[in-house]
Order: sequence, then C-alpha cells, then structure tokens
Amino acid sequence: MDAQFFFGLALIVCVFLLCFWFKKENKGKD
Amino acid sequence: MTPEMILTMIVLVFVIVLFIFEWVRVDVVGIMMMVMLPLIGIVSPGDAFVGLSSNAVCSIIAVIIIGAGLDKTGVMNQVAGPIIKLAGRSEKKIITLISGTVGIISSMMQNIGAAALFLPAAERIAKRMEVPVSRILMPMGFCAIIGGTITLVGASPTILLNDLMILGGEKLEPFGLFTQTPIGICLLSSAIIYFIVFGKLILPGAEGEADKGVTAALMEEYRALGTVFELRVPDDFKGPKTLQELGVRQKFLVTVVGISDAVRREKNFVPRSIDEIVAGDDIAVVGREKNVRKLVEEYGWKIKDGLEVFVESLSRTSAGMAETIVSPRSELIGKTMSEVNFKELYGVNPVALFKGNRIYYSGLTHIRMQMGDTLLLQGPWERFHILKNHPQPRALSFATPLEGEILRPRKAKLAIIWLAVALLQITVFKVQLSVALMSGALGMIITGVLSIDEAYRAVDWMTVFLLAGLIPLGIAFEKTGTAAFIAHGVLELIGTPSPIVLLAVVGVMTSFFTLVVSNVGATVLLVPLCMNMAVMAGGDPRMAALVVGISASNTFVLPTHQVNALIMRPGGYRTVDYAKAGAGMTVIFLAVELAVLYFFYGVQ
Repeated sequence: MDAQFFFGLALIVCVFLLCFWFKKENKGKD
Repeated sequence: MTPEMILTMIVLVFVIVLFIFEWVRVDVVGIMMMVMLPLIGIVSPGDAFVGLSSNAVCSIIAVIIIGAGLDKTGVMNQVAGPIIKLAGRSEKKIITLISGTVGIISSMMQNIGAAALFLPAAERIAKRMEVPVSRILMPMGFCAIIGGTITLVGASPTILLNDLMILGGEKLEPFGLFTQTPIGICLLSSAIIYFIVFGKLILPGAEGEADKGVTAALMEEYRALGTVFELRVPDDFKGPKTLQELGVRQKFLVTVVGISDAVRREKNFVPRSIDEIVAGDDIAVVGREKNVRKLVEEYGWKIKDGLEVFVESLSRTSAGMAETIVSPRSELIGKTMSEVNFKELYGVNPVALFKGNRIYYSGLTHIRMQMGDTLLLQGPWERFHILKNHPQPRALSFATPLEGEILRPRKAKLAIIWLAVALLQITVFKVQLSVALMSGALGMIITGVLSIDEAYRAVDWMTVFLLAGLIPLGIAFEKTGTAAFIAHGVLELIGTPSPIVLLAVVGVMTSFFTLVVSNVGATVLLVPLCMNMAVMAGGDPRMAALVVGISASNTFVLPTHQVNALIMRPGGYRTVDYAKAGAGMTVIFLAVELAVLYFFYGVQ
C-alpha cells in the first residue's frame, strides 16, 4: 500500500461526500 | 490482489451507488470517471479521454445526426404512418411492431444504428397515439440489443467470436452466420412477450403535464371549446352551401378547421366563411359534442368514430393550437379580423378570443382587437413556426410554446441517399462504423438536409459523456487485472460442475462484466477462460464461447450499454427504471438462453 493508494482512497471518499452533500442543490437544478 | 485492483473495485461500487441514488446525474458520473481515474493513477491520462474519440461514441454522434436529418425531412413520418395504421390504437401492438422491427433490423446492423434511426419515429408514434414515450422506448431499446444476438454479425461480441476461439494453439470450427439464430429469435420473442405482459407494471408511465402537449392543455383551459371531430357530408346533401350560409359557427359554436374537397381531392386547413361544402366532403371541426351533434342532425351529416381523412394532418405532430397575444404596435389594434383578412394573411384559424374578462367563441371576426387581447389559434405547426420566426406583419406574440417544426420534404430523397451511402459502406465495403456513419452525416449537412447548428443541437451530450466516461472505467477494470482476477476467482470457486451449470455461471458472469466493462472487453477476456473451463468440465468449448458472446448482450440493469444510454433522456428514464425493467429481462434472458441450449443444442 503506497501513498498513491491512500491518495486515491481519500479522493474517492471526498468526491463521494461532496456528491452526498450537494445532492439537494443538484436535484433542484435538474 | 494489488492496491490498483482494490481501488478499481471501490470505484466500481462508487459508480453503482451514484447511478442508483442519482445524487448527481449519470453523465456527470461519467465525467467524474474521466477525471478521477487518472488522478487516482489507475488509468493513464491518455486513456482517460479515449472514450470521446472511441468508435462507439463517434458512431452515436453520427447516427443521431443522420436520424435527425431523416426526421427533419419527414421520412420518419412515412415510417411512422404504416406502423400506426397496422397497430390501430393498441399500445401492445405498437410495442410489438416497433420492437420486432427494430430487433430484426438490429440483427443485420449495429444495435445502436437500428435504435438511433428508429428513435425519432418511435417518438412521433408515441406522440400521435398519445401513449407515454417511456412505454415504447425501453422495449425498443432492449429489443435492439437482443436483436444483435440473432446473427453472428448483429453485435460486436459475436463478430469477434470466431477469431477468439483458439484452444491449445488450434482454431476451433467457426460459427456460421445463423448458428445462434434459434437462441436470438427465442430471446427476442420472450422480450416482446415480457413487455406486453408486464409492460404497465415495470415501465414508468406519463411524465405529467408536459407529456400531454400544448394543445391538450389549451383544450382543457378553454373547456367550452370541446374537441376535434371528423364529419362526413353524405352524397345526398343539397349543396353547395358556404359555411356562412350553413351558420356553423354562429348557430352551433363549432369551428371548421379542415375541409377535404371530394371533387378536387384537396385539403383546406384555413376554411373561410365563403368556402363551400359539397356532397362527399369530409370536414374536421372543433366543438363541444352536443353542439356538433346538433349540427350533424340539422344537415343530415355523419360523425365518424375518429379522425380518418385528417388523422395525419391534424395529428399532434402536424397541427395544434397556440395562444397568442396582440402585441404593442401591432397592426391588428383597433381593427377586426375581417378587415385585415386574418385567415388569408396568417394562414391559421382563430377559435377563441380572450378579451377583458370574457372569452368569445363566436363572432370573432367582427370584434375590434386591442393590445393584450389573447387569441387562441389553430393550424399547422409549420405555419405557426413561420409566423413566429418571420413576424411579418408584426402583430402577435406567442404565449405558449410551439410543437412540431418546419419540415423539408424536398430534401427527403437526399436524406435517404446519404443513409444508403452510410449503410453501403458498412455492409459492402466494411468501412469502420464511425467513419461510414459520419460520412453520411456530413453528406446531409453539406447538401442542406440539416444545418450544422441543427446537427449540433440534435446530438445528445448526456449520452456522449455517459458512454465516454464509462470507457476509461472499463479500461481500468481490464488493465489493472481486476476483471481477470474476478473471473479466475469465480471459476475456481465453482470447481468442475456439469456443462449446463458451468454455462449458467458463465452466462451470469458475462452479464455482470458486460455492465461494467464494454461488451467487447468482456468477450475478449472471458472467451479463452470459459473455453478452458468447459474442456475441464467435459463440455463443448464452442458452446461456452457462444454463451459468452450472446450473454455480452444481456445488459439491461444499468444504462451503461450504448442503446440504453441513448434512450435514457428521450424516454425520461432514471437508473431505477432500468433496474426495475432490466432485472426481470436479465433473468428471462439467461433462462431462455440456457433452455434453448439445453433443448436444441444438446448441452447436458
């Protein structure tokens, strides 16, 4: 497990949380 | 398992979760993949955007433009006409006819081509028959995918099969063009039966107000208006008499919106009060049923059960109603309609006038108009578009959106020629799909079938980015070795079962892989693996290869297949709709495929 792996994992988690956080605003704009 | 494989599987779960919950739209998930995968380091930056230039995506762009060209020139109306005539008013017949036709066409050409070319026609049919488009497009899309399994050249995975069937350095006996046809036909029939029986349960219904169209909404708004009827003037009618003499509007509050002249065989869609009705004419009128019945009784005419002569010309896609407002500085202000020769000048029928707080349904031609008066007009959409785009004389502003469009029937032949050129390149000269289709699309643009801006507008960018974004995910799945790892794992887990059980596992595994990796990728990976497993289980390796090739078309649960992505927006589908209808379809697909192999191909 190298630094790239943990960076990738962190990135996925961040994007996931970002999507979850902004889901209501995005739905309003659809 | 390497760290890259773990990350790839996490990304896969992430994508499936986002697809199902739709926190962001599916095409945004596609763009996320293009950005995230190279950042994570599981695909190279070069591979991240390779989807945008892929054969699949470029073919979709081209085929959408070709479909738009055919639609714009009215060719799709010609295709829709016979289907509607055959189907009558039955939704089930429409589904059967459209899905069956697309399935059979798809057996000889790429699935996406068959689906994209039929998409505009299917949309028109749905509108005309007032059936929710969502009830037609998904069966059509699924059957386009399944149609690819009927012949060896119907879909990319089976085209590859013969080249992939190498065992121990020796080529196996190749499949013929129709080896798989019994399976394909059974699959197509079972899909159609599935949608006919369960269609209403599994497919989403109407999408509310917007789906009914402007005219239906206006008819509801102006309740006193009634609806459209077609009348027949019998041969013993003592005429000719003008509409003025008959007093159709003054006495019965009924508006004549079309006269089909029996003698000259002409249709007049803007009848004036001086126009004559003669024996044998067919007339289209708008009015309340009781008023129309009074009119018919008075003159001995007949009401038809539905539109016959005017079914095409007064259909929702050809004609309708629009609400317009007399604009400031309009030349109509202070004048009556008869003073300005309204019908001749504008080519549409006034049916109601909203003035102050009152709605007038008769005597419209003698009312002086003022700024802000609202006129309800009826006529061909084409005429409305001309009035809106070239407001000469500048008089009316449109308060409701217009449907339909200006067609270019004179370019229809050119459109068909370019389609034929594209198909000829694919079938005879074996030119790559994207190049052949793009040359057809380009030909249409150069010869003015549609403008380049219209072509750009026709392309559905949601489909493009959804597919282009999923391609790097497929690459990641293959390049990191995740796909091979899963396949080996599953095959090791099941040991050496009987051939039919092995084929069932192969079918399920291919169906899963084809949802995530491209169908070609899944085939290339699984055919050699599964053939080896079949030999170990004492089965026929060719049958294992065939199951992989056919099951690569079993992709209905997520909108990841090109055809499913294409119909997603026009049908107003969400991912859950695919899961709902696709789950049953996937199970039926596997069951029918294995049953046919068991009974007709001697697999035990």
